[in-house]
Amino acid sequence: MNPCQRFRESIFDFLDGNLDVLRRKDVERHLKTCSQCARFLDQIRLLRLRLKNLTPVKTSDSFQVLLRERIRREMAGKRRTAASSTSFTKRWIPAFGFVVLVLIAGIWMIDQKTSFFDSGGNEGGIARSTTPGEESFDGQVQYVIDDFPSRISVSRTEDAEGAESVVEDSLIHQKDWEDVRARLTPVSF
Amino acid sequence: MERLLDKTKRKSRKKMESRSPTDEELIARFQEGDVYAFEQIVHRYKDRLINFVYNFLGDRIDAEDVVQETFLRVFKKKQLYQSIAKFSTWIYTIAGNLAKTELRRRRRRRILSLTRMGYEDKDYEVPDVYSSPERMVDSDMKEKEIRKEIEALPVKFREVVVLREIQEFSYEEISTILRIPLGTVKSRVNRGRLRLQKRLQHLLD
Repeated sequence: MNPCQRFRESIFDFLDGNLDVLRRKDVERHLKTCSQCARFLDQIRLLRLRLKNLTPVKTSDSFQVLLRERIRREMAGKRRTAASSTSFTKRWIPAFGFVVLVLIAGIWMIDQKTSFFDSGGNEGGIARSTTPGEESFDGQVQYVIDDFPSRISVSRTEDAEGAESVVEDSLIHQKDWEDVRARLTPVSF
Repeated sequence: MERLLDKTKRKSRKKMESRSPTDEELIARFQEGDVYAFEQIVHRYKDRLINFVYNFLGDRIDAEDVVQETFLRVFKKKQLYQSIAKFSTWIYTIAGNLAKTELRRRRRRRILSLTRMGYEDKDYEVPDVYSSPERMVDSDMKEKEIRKEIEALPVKFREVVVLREIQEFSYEEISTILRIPLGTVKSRVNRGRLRLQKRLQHLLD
């Protein structure tokens, strides 16, 4: 690398005063002998001076007034947003509450109606058992007698008056039904 | 002895009261709700910032808009400033980011007209330090040319050259403002200077 190239690389550090003494002396020696590098250094110095002395631009006279107005508008907008969100809450929470109440009432009424039909209100239908754990399947409930030697599936039917009867092919007779019933476990479908 | 101590204390308190508050003190006061402190910040920084943004964008109206937006951000986000950082680097970071956003917006729109790119129609104030009108015109032309060349620099060189040579920030401060390594700052400043030196050689002899 020739001395000029070396010099160009460290010229800015030289101008910023960031070179150590030895390197600085080296550059100074080179400047005394090389007119091209001395000219380059002068140009950079002048460039920096010209940049530094560029006419400063100033804000317009109305700058602060406009800024204040902008901030005021911004804050007013914020307040409006906050106020509208408050009024939204004020307006919509009761409405939402009302809708929820109507829904609950509706569900309750539907539930009541279903119970009414389930508990015999529907006269032409077959009443389902309301005993917990019992499953109905078209008026027939299947049971398993756990303590019989083998699981025997039997079925009972109910007529319109609710009278129970054992299906004929079952091994259990009508009169023993109450006794057997206590030992029956409903089969879930 | 006590009287002497009291006197010294009073003097130092008076000194503290008479000196102008630092930027960091002003922003701290503003964070506590003192709007007058914000006004002082605006007064202190408006011209410095517009110089930076104007040299960056090359358009006075846009520059003023960006500076207004910068102060608006400071107003709204004052709590984001932490006293560990220098206030000047914080506000310059905001202004620089907004200026870059403006540049990107312009590039997207691609509606830059030639008159906007140049400085022919700009009405910046020229100080009355020149005795003859010829010299004034000459100097004005030179200045326009220099500004034109600054604007022609790639953004990454332009921002560091403006911050270093016009705003006179240290390399370390520029590194903080732009969030780039110190070595990168130095290299970009030097490359920017070299480009300008080549392009403006006729003005530098």
